[in-house]
Amino acid sequence: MEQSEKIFETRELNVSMGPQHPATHGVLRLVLDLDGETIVKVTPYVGYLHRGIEKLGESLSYFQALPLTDRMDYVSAMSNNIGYVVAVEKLFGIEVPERAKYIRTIVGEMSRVSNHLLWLATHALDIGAMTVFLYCFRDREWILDLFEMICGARLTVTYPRIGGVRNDVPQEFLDSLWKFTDEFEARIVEYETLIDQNRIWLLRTKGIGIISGEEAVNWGMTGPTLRGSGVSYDIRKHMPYDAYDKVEFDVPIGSEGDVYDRYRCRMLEMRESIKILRQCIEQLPAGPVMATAPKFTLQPKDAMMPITHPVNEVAYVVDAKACKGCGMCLRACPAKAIAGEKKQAHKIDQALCLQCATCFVSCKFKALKIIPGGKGLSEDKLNEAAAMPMPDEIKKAGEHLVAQFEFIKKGPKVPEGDLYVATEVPKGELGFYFVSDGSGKPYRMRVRAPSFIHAGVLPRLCVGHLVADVISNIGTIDIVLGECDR
Amino acid sequence: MAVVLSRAATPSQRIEPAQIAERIKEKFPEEVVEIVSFRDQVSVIVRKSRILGICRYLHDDPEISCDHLQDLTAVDYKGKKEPRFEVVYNLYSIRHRHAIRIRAQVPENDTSISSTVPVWAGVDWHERECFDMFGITFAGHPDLRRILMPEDWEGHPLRKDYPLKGYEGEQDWKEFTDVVKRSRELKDFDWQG
Amino acid sequence: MAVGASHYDFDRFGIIFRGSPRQADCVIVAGTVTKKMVPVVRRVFDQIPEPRYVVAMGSCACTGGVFKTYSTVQGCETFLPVDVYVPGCPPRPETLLEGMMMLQEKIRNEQARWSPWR
Repeated sequence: MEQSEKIFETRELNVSMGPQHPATHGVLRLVLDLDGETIVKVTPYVGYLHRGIEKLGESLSYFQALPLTDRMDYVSAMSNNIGYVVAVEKLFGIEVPERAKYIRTIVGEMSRVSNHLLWLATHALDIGAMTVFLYCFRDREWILDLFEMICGARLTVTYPRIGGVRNDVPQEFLDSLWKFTDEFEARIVEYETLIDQNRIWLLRTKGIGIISGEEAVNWGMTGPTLRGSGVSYDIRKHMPYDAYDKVEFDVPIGSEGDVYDRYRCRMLEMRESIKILRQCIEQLPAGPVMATAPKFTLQPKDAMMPITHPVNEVAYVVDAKACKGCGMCLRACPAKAIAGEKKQAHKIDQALCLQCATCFVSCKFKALKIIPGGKGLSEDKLNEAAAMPMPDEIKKAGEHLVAQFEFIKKGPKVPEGDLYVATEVPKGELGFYFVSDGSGKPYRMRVRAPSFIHAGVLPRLCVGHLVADVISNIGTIDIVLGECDR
Repeated sequence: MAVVLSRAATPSQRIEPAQIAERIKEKFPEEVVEIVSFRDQVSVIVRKSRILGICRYLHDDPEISCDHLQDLTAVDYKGKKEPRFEVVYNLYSIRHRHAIRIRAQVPENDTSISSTVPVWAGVDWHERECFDMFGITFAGHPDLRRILMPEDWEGHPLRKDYPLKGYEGEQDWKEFTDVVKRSRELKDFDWQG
Repeated sequence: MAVGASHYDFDRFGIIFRGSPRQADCVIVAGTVTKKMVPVVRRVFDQIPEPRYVVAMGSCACTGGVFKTYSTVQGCETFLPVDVYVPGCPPRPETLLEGMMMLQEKIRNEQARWSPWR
């Protein structure tokens, strides 16, 4: 009778920016085929945040492509950087000093805690527990403040560099982090008391999105999403990198493969991260934080200080005699302060000049002169000073600056070959596949993003459940669209 | 619901990647073109004709048992070498903890290769992305359409002859240029404070 | 999102996130806008009843940012009338708050027909 009449209703559900929640998961579009309230089919549409990072990586050198990786999984940027840097170091064949390995492990685990906090905040918010959102962000602020202490940025950090890390960590960072590990255990218990035994939470997460271990591996799932189904695959144990083989930690494995088990896995993972952090802080060895491999890493910038951080304001002047009028500096100037005809000496407008040294670096004929203390001097004085030879200090600094610029732009000389390296980011397995053709730019940079694969499993997880369970499932696979679409 | 914590590494029957390459060469001698090794990772370059058989062998054989397809991607070697494309399968065995890479050669004039969806279900979206970015069609794929670019986009972005900045003006995506044109027309009616 | 949480509370400035564009006054375009997303953003903007304002948050929304590629729009001003630009990659919560305060200032100085009553 009525049962033979099936009503198909196709509704487009846009989980995107603007409506509903402030930037929880990003721009993911799901088309649901419904039979009443039960789901018959789910079709995810991704690609709304596809920025062409892989193609962009092919036109930039290895050093320049590092900040791009921050912006993929913008929630746990440190982990992305570590993944990229570990892969590139293997490609170059350089060894990282011990201290840098431990520091990278520390920030990697901090980023894991930060990611799981955000995951819990948004997952709980979607399901309806709004207090958890505010509690989690309170702790996340602590971690982001610590990130700001070491590298100046909260989210897109670019702190792990090829060959180590950017700079050493101050002692107050380690003290504050130790205090954090002391207090955080109690806070995890706080979150758990809010939702763990809550009837509503259990009803909405138990028995939802069940997938067996074998099937999960077949679908390509990794990370806590896979471990909730009982498969013990953690790259930190299988293919250790950084200092993970020197610290003791467990990997939580679930048994049912539903949303609740994955939630428990991630909560236990946060506790394990705290354990790793404490061990790393205790075992942190002294030493350098950047590998001494001048052909493959960027050297410290102290030698360039006279130009980049001058004591007195400098002025940039074009030496009229040496200038060939090629126009390179004219095109390079970001403030459009240089004017001149072809084949005639160019002139810099001092009022517009930003003292950024871009013209200095791009001049092949050494016609750009840097005059220390020259800001505000009259034109004649400047031309006079330009005609004299440059002081030694500036000359040396200038050579360093130009060499560094060229090195970053052209990249190092890399052996030819192809390489795939995977690391364990909080969301799963982040893999980088590089094909190198000997030049300083990657011929092919492929990013294997866990969010992309997990978004593809969504149809398999949601079929047969109700519409509200789609939200639980999206939360449990923990996707970030920046990483999914690259 | 019991959650068990796993401790140290379990003993495994790990095979060296070079040996896995040798086994593939024994089983499929006419398919293997070359075996390349770089930084203790081994790639086996094969012809594309029996790629499904090779993948099934690697997945089903109990001693190799590559159950986890880490990544499927393609590389465009335009101008560098023939054939132009290579479809790369990065495989890993969770049980035995060994890895191998298969590179299947795909020429420019016949960019079609068998889909491995029957072996690994998760390769579905990987293959769609390959099709979207390179134009390589996968025969036997359940639903081969664009995934990252809009459905009616023209061109395959990751090919070497596609410009980084894309095409602007006339050749740009029509829906985008339509919206820009319409918003310019509606500018006169914008809210002015 | 951190701006909405308790540390940098949005609510004390009288700003709250709404679920639907029909109930909103302002749309914040956060993050990169790709060509695939442009019709969707424009449609959301068109659904907001007047008076409506647009805040472009982040370098990518302002000018396209780092990504000058085939699929990225170089700034959301190509298809939206932007009122306030909040730069940064990503902008700090304080920067976004300042941007919103600037928008409030702009609204206060408006000369529209019914602004004396606002």
